[in-house]
Amino acid sequence: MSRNQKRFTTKYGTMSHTKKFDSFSEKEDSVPIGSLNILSAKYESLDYEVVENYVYRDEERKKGYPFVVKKNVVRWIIFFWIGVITAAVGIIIDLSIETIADLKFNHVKKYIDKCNQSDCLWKPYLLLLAYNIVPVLIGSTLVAYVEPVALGSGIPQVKCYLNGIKIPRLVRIKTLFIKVIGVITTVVGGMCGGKEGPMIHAGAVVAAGISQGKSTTFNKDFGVLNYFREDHEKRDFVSGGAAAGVAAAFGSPVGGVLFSLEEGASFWNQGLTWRIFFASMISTFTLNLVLSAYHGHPGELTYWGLLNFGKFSNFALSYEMFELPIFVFMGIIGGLTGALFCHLNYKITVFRMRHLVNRWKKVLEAVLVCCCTATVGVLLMLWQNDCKPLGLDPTKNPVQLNCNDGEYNSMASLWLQVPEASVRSFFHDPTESLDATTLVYFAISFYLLTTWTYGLSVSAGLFIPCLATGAAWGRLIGLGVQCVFPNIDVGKYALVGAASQLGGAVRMTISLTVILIEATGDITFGLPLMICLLTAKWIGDYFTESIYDVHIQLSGIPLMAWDPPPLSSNIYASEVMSHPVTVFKSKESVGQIVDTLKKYTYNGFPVVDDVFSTETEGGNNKSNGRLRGLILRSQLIVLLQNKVFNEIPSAWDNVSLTTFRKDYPRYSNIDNIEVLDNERQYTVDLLRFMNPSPYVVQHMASLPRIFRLFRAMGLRHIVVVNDSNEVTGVVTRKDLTRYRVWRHRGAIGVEELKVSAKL
Amino acid sequence: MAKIVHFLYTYLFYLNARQSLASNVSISSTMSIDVLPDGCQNLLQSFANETARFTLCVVTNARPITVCEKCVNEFNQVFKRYEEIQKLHNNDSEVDCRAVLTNIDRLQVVYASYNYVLDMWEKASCKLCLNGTVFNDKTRGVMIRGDNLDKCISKHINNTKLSNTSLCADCKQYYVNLTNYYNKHKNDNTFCMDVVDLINNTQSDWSLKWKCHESNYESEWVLLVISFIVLLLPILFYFINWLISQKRSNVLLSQNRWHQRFTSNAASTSGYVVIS
Repeated sequence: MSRNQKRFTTKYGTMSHTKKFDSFSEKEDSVPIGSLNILSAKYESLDYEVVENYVYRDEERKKGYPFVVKKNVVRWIIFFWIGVITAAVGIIIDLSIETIADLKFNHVKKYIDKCNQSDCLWKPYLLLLAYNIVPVLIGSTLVAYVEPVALGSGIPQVKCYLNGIKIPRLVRIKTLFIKVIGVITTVVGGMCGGKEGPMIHAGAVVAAGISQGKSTTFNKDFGVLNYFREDHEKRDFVSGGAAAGVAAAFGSPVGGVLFSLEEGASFWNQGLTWRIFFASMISTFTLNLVLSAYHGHPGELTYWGLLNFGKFSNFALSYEMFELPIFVFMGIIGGLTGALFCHLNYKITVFRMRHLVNRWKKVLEAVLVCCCTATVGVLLMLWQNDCKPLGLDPTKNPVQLNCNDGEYNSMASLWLQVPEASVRSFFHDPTESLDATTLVYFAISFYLLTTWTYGLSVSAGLFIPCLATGAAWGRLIGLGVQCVFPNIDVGKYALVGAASQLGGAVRMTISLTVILIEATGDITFGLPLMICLLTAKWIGDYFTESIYDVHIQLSGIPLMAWDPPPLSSNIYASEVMSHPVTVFKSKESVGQIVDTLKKYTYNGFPVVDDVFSTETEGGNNKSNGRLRGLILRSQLIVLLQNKVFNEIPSAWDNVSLTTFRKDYPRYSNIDNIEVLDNERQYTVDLLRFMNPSPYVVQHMASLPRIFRLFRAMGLRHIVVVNDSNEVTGVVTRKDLTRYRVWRHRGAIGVEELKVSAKL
Repeated sequence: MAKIVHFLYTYLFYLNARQSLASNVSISSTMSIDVLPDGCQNLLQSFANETARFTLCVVTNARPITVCEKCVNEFNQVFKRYEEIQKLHNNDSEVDCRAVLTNIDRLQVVYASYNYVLDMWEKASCKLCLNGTVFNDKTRGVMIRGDNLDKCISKHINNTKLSNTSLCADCKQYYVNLTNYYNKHKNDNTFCMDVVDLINNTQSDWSLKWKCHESNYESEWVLLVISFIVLLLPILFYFINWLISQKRSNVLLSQNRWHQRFTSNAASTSGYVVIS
């Protein structure tokens, strides 16, 4: 294994100077599950590019400017509804969790209070276990059996979608349902999970759903918004939906916009940004309006996010110069613990991929983890007898346990509430209310449990657990600092700790800073937050990739980085491209098309002149004739389905863009298309339907050049031509992403990834 | 150079001195003007007295808190006096007394003092307990039960024959009576600070001073055994899965690549003429 790795992780610059490129196919044909250096063939790109063929131009000619105006107006309306509905989903999640969790904790507390002789606490403990197991079992079963793509937080997947990768079933209504139920059950089941990441995913689904005017899950087509049924438009809407999700989750509209900017959306223009901002604002506003009304302050707009940090009292968030080094120090701790988190979770995930394959095992594992979470909580409550007097305003469910009358166990109050409420306790509770030892136990146990929980077959994010862990140790540091400078506020340190821990794990920079600023509602604390996030990211990046990137790499998703690998301009197109290209003649026979589509999995086929085309045999360097255009698999399938053959003139009249959009986004498989034997001799005129001006590079083009073109234009195929405009190769996402930059302990390099079969 | 600096300093000092002198004069001149008409002055004086009396009362009754019970009259006085000041709108004198007292300067002493009183009263949530100037029924219920317990305890303390243990046994019924009554009613946020403090004190005294609280959970063997099993299960689960699962691997696909590395001396991939 290590020997092989040595061979294939070529040091950048020496790459392929000494060896031929064909070594993969001959030397090694399998890698163990859970390798980081593979790309999965399962993932395809989205077609972001608009195919400007004759049909398209015809349609454009017919529509006229009123259509453009209408489309723009409708776009705004859709963004409005994206905001509203995303917020509605958030409200449903929030209120369900609140109601059910209240019920659960109240019940458990009642049982604990009732138990007042020795050896009876096991009853409430078993009750708690039951309360945890039932929802987790439901949620985990749904995720494992019905919709595995709803697993986890959904942020990595949405990130990939915005990057231009088609993640199957990611934005379906069914996924949304599973996700919502999954989140509610996970949080209610007392696991270390949050509802913020799933909100982002939910927003993305909502956006994709309402912008299309149809649902495949319900098999219903409303017959509206046909003109938005293409990847190009859908992806814009999805970026808006993700932003609205962030906005609803944290009450931070600007943070949402920046999240979309930071994590995706290759095409980024002023108009789109403005619309996304609009959706985010609407989402925050709606959520605020409804939640405020629900909590009995209609019209007051006091609940501005699902994750409500609460208001910091006046001047609690002011800071002094001497505190900045402490914040940097906390950033370092956050980076280290974050990196350790990523590494441990990576190890666990690999173990899960290798050994826990069956679905029932995944469900069982989730249930076991939730039992352990409850058990650890109960044991800590009994072990750590941290008693605090019941003041006028104690926590929601104070339990006495081993404390004297009139006191409550502060450890128990941390565990007998949703993690989000614990975060608020760390931020706002008075200094004396939590002991240092309580904080230590809580931080360590919650950290380990979070590491264990993320990646289970349940849908839950890691924002809240990371924040809770960080807030615990941050408050601990705050207590330490308070010994030296008695006037400082420990809540502030809890906030910085939370930010550092989260930053160390997810490594988001701009958006996370702004999200936290907006969630606390205090712009003056921007600099400390930025400092600790920056430090945490740098320290974390020194050791590992971010947790999301680790998971993306483990799934082998070909995610395009922001920039091409450094020092790579001596890698040429001819090296990057896939070489023997399957091409079609401009007038191709149906039989040939069907055979080719069945034989290859390619999605784009260059169309070449008939005149010069020669028989292409694998391995021989003969070129394919001059490039005329590019045709997509989906177009060919639609053509075959509608029997648009030269020999049947009647079919020609019915072909318009609507024909192509009808099947979007799930085109039929080639195997399901029936072509009669006599039709095989018929021909199709591809010139009318192909993209006549695909993006083309010369074979001398360097990797950075191709990369930038590909990334900026959101392409799926780039055709490589030689000096006589003959097709020599095609560059796709996987050809580009197989050059991956790695950074570790200050060193940097480029490795070449292998492509694995579909799992 | 030094001379110039010296000169500059002297000049600055002179300027400074002049300015402070001027401001002193201006202050003393304003003080000499008497702005308040007599009635106004009296009102201010009595408001000051009421506020002082309230503060005195609140602070003296701070431990144990009996603010609502003892200071309700003082609070009402302050409240009444402030109302009077507020009503002084159309005084026949030339100076508007209300305006002079409440909002003519930044300090707003009268307003601030009134706010302090009001705030204190709000925080103690006295309204919840009071019915006019006396306690309402629920509060009285707590107080009576508290008194009973107190009586029982003091009887025991004074009577040296009875030891501490019997205190716990004898007074327990009163204690339980009190706490149960309180727990029954506390949910709907019905009690003021007086009651809450009474309960808190009683409970902590009961536990700490008289050592009557029995520790609830000495042994929890059943719980420990169950939790041990629960914690052991995942380890077993992982271990078994690790043992029985077969090694799986990913099949690699061959990639179609151009066989020769592109070099500059073979600058054309076409079969046509190389233009170099």
